[in-house]
Amino acid sequence: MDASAMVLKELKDVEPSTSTSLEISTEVYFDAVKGLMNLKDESKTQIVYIASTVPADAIINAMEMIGVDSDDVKFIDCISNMMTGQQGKYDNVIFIESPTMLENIMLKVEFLRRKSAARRSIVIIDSVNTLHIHNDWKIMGEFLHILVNNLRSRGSTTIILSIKEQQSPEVTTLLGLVSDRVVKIGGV
Amino acid sequence: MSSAKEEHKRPSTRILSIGREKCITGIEGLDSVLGGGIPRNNTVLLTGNCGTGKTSLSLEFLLHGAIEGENGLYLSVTEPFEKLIANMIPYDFFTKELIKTGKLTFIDMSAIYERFGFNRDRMSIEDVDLLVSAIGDLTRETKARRLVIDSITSVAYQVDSQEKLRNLLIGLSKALSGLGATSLIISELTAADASYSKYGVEEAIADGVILMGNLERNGDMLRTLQVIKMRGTSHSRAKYVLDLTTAGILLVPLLKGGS
Repeated sequence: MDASAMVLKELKDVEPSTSTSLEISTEVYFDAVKGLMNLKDESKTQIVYIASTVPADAIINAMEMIGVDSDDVKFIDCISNMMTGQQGKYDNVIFIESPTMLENIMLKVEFLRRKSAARRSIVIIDSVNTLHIHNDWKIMGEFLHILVNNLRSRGSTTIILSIKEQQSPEVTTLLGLVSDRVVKIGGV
Repeated sequence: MSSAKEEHKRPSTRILSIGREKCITGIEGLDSVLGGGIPRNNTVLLTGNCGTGKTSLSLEFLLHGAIEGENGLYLSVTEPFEKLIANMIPYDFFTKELIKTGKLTFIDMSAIYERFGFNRDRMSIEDVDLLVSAIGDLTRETKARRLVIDSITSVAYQVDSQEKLRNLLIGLSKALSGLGATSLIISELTAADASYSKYGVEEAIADGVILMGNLERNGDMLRTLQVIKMRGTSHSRAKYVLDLTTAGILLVPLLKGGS
C-alpha cells in the first residue's frame, strides 16, 4: 500500500472534534498530500488546507498532474505573499501576508467556516515544522491550543502534518499536548 | 429566494447573557466579549486611530439590528451617505431593501446644521441644546433603536469648550437612552493621543468604551479590539485581533507568546 492510500485509510473515518498528528518522512510528502486531498471524497465535509510548506498553487498544480482534483479544497496560503507579493490564479486560495500572522490563519479558518454550508470541517495544517521556522514555540503552542480547541467546540477536526526529519523536541512536545492521536506514515 | 433575515445566522443563541437586557450587536465575537451584547440604552464610545474598522463595525451593528427588525440611524459628519455605502464592505447579509423600507436611515449632519442655521465654526450653548434636541427628534421620527454618530470628534471641532462638549454628550446620552436607543459614538484618535478620546471628556461620560487599534508586531500590522469599560455587563478586557470580511467582523484572541 502506498503512502497516499495509507493516509486515506488511517484518516477517512476520523472522528469529529478530534485532533490528529500525521507524522511523515520527507520522501512521501506529496503522496501524503494526495491522500489528504482524497479525504474530501470520503468525508463529505469541507476541507481547509493551511499551506505553509509549499505554496497552494504548487500543491494544486502537483495534484492536477497526478489527476487529483483539489477544486473543492479551500487553501489558506501563508507563504506566497511573503515571497513574491503576488496573488495566485485560483479562486479556492486565500492568502495571508506572512506565516507569522497566526491570528490571521485562525481568522481565515473562521471565515471559511462561515462561508461553508458544511456542518463541520477538516482543517489540515501543513506543516507544524514550517510554521515553527517563522514562530517561537511558545506562540506556536498558544496558536495550536486555541485553534484546535475552537475547532473541537464546533465539531470540526484538525490534522497536523509534521515532517519527521525536521522535528524538534519542542514541536514533539507541542503535538503531544494538542493531539488525540498520532499517525506515522513512510518509514518514521 | 431566501430573505436576508432567513440567511442571517443568529449568534445570540450560543451566548450566555448576564445582567441587563442586551442589544445583540450580531458580531459574534464581540457579543461573546460583552457577555451577550451591549446593555440596552447604553451610549458607547467607539474609539481608535484611522483604518482600524470603526465605521465598518458601526455599520455592521446597524445592519444586524435592521435585519432583526430594529431600526437604525447613521449620522455622518465625515462622509456623504453615497460614498459611505459605495465604500462599505460587500456584506453577504446587506440588501438595499433595508434602506428602502426605512429599517436603515443615513443622514448627513450638514443637513441638520443647515436646517437649524447653526454657526458651524462656533456653536453656542443654545446651539448645542438644539443639536441634542434635533438628534433626539430624528431618533424618534425614524423609530431608531440603534444609532451611530460618525464622528463626535468632528462635531466637537465646532464646540469651543470642554463644558459645551460635556453638555452635548450628557444631553445626547440622556436623550438617546430615554428613547430606548443603544448608541455607538465614534471618536477619532491620532497616534499622539494619550487617552481614549480626543478631548478626554467623552470617555468619562460614555457608558462604554471600545478601543480599536493597529498593533505592529515584528513588522506585521494587526487590527485589534478591546473593551475598556461597559456599564451593566460583565465583560472581557482582553485584546482581540479582528478581520473585516464579507461575512462580517471576525475576532480571535491576540496571541501573547508567553510575553
